[in-house]
Amino acid sequence: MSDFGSIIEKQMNAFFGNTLFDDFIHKELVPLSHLKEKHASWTLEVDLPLVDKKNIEVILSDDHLTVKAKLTKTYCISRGSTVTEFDYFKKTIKLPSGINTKQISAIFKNGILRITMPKPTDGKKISIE
Amino acid sequence: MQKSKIKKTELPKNPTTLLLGIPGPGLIGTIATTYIIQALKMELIGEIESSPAAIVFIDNGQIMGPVRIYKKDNTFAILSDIPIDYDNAIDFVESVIDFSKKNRIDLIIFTSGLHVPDRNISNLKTYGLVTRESLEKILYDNEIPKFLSGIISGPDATILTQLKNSPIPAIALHTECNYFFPDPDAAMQTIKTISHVIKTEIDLAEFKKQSEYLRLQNRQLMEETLNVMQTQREQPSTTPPQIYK
Repeated sequence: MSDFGSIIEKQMNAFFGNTLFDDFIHKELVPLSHLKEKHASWTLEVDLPLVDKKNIEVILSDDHLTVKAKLTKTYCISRGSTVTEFDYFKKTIKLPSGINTKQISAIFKNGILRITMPKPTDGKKISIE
Repeated sequence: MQKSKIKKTELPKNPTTLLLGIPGPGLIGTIATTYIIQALKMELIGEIESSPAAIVFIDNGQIMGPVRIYKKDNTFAILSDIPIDYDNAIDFVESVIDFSKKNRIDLIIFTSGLHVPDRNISNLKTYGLVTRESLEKILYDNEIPKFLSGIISGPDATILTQLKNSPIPAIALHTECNYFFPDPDAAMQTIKTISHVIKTEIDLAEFKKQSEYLRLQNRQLMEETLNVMQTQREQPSTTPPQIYK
């Protein structure tokens, strides 16, 4: 993005908040998500209304997870006289460190994608004196 | 020994009722109250003003404040489209109570959500809290289980405290919900409960059609509400330390 673009983005973020502005810049809706730490795992929940399970993609890279989902219907937002159309949700989330990436699992129920990321159970044993 | 603070007040047969909906967990109060206003075709009669207004909404070319007052017959509704933060919560409730006194409100019904991660969506429960002993009959008659134990925090706690100390009888309805995402299922359960309490039929057909869109449309408000509630959580706890026995 150009310097001008980044200045405008900063100003717009300050005014509208991150979610709405990301939507309009990238023409992709940013879904709500919530990351929760449990004893043996992390759970990431992503709210995906108007989405079918078959249209969800979850992509794991080194330390990021990207969720992309196609909407069942085009969603339009009008501001003033401008109408913007959206067909996708997309969000990339930085993963917490120390996750067992081989055992990540996902389930989609009631429009909410729940991704469970187990913490590693192996490691160096520490002796107790 | 302290005496119970719950006062005995008899309600009239057809009480003048005020529904109070503000953004909170799952946006239950806002979503439910907005739908009731639409379904009952309630008339916009005024606004609760804050000076200076930080935000206004434009609807059909009209400038509208974020906290609005509606009325139909003997039912009033106060709806906030912005989260009420801790700094403004007391002023906000004082305005609500002041309005209630001037308009001879007999009963305030405050709606909100209760975070239950593993709730059964097909059988969501709404729990009731009352500020007057006589109101327990309303809970009993409408099969609303009493909220027996738990913690309520954030703006809800301030609002409940102020309502408890006000002369206007109040019922708080907390429905099991997803705390972090807009939860139309829980809002629908809340509408059903309100419908019973105010003895007015509310058609939910349109709500069911809009359900998925409500989750989409309310993302921004949900995020702002969580930010407000999170800020309050980060403040130092006021819980007294436990004493070892």
